[in-house]
Amino acid sequence: MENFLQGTATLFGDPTSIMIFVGGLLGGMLFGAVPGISMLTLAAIILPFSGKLSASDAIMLYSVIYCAGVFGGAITAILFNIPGAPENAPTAFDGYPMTVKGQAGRAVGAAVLCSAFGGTCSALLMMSATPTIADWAISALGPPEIFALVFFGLAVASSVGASTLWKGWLSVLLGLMIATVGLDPVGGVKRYDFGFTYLLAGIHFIPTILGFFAVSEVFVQLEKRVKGTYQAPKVNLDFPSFMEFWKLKFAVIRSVVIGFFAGILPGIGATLAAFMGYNEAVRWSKHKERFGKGELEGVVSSETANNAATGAAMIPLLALGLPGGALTAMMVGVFQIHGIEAGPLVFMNSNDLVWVVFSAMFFANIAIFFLGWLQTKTVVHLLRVPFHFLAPAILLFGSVGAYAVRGLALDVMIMFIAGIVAFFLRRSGYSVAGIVLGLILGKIGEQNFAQAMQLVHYDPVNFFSRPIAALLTLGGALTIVANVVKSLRGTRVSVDDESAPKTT
Amino acid sequence: MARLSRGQVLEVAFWLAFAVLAYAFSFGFDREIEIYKFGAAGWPRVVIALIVVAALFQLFQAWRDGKTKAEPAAAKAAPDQARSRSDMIRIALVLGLPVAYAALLDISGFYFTTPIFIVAYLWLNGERRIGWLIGVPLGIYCFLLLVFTRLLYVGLPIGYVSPFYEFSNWLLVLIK
Repeated sequence: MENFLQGTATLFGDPTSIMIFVGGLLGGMLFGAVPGISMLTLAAIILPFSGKLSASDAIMLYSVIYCAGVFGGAITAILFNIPGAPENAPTAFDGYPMTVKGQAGRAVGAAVLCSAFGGTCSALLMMSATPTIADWAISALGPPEIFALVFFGLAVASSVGASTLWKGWLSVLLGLMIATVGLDPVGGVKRYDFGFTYLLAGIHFIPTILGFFAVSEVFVQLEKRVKGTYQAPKVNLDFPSFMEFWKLKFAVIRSVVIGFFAGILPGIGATLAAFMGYNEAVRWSKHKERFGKGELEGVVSSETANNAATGAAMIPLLALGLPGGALTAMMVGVFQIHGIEAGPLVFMNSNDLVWVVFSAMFFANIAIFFLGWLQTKTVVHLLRVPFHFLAPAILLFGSVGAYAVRGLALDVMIMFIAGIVAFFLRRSGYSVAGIVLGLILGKIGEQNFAQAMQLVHYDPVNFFSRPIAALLTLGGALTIVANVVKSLRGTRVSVDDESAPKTT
Repeated sequence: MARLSRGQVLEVAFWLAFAVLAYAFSFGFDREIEIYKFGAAGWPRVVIALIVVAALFQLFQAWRDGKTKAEPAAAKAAPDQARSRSDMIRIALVLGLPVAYAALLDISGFYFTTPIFIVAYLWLNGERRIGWLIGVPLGIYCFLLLVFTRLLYVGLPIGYVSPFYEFSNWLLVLIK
């Protein structure tokens, strides 16, 4: 508590620090909420200038951008089906259908509250348990556990969003196949590059995600305009009631726990957290068929989990020097710019800095709650703009976003091709969410599988002697068996519905 | 096979063909890795095998459910057939124009190609009012230039063919 108060006093005792805090907060929310750009754009732009700030101000700025940006990305995911970052992708699964149904206010309101709640809980947990959790995570979670977690996530994801279980699996498997393009993660062997240097680095997930979600959505809506069946989404500012949240209390608590523990995993962070939070919401729900069509619980679970991961991502970063994602990787760069080595010594040598960061993240999440409501009231009105005016703007923002990743026009082409592929797959009842999940988790899964096999000397007994890995693998296998049995008995409820938006 | 629609059979045929091709190409990198027993082709081949299994189960389920519970694609086939030829052409253009735009980005540059693309896309989507056809592209274009070029200094393609290259450079000097 003393450390927290000291960190707070340092943060708010200096006008420069306050300005940086507010700037990071507004910048993160704004960049997160503008289609086509993200918090990563802002973080990359200011990276060269961060050396001019003090070390604690620079690290604090990035941590605030992280919290605000993860929330901001939910706005575009809900309103335009454009996830601001991969961790916001599951938010779009149900958030956008809610917008189509005229419930944008409810969806964004839920995102505001859950982002703030998840982030605050995560900050509190992070402050109280960083050293203990870091120690546990290092010893308990190795490649076998991470692979088992990925397997479990994929097993659940196959049952979401597609018209049949098998189409769900085909979607996930297509994503896994796309992830194999490029150098293999163990030996660096070229795979499916067809002689193109571009493909050696793999198909980047940002253009692909932009294509699968934003571009395909534009195509779907424009097709409706051509056919004369387009209906503009109704602008509605009705926020969810307290009772609605109260009914979802278990989903929120579950997502906080999932988000926090997934966020600890280096290299995966908030993305897996969001997908796991969403998948678990589906798995435990009595109304699985509602997911993907505008279920509030889907938005709540995803947004709580991804924001709960923001605090947790600081644990491997600060305790081990291992980044959990792109933004935390940039933070390692900020540490290096200031001549600090991220890792266990930070707690000993720069304890003040650590607590300024913890305090800033705590207050950033509180601020998101209040500023988020104001942002909701204004941003939702973008839906009043006729869609055929918005369409070229969305495509162009997406183009700039895809191009800016690596400075390659080919990424823009990949984005549009992904959009066309997704347009046809959605018409045929496949799950875009499943493809994206397979794509994102494919490389992580393969890499950790290879490491796990080397670790257990290719002996399944050794693999299953690790309790967490065994439990997660068993859970995934049981999920698959249960879904297959349901499918073969013909009891699976089709999620396809002519009246529902084909978002997933 | 009478219980299956042509679309359903074609769909599964697509997945099987995809799997066969992916498997055939996997021989191009079927090399052992010293530290990893399964090699570079191990993981993709497991995924390919699972694709085959899932596609066959999909076919079985479609056969079992019969035509009465046809797939969404098949269900939509009727209205698709009724759609007029002009609608089909417009939809093809809606999908194709952005691809053409992406193909031109490197050649004629972002700064020259973008306003033309916006006007064409608005026209394609039924906008015929001249004021909007000028105003909306101008608004979007100026906003993009202001945010990405003036404020964020994002390097966008300037093209390599004359006179587009010169135009892009002239505009960049003007903006900055």
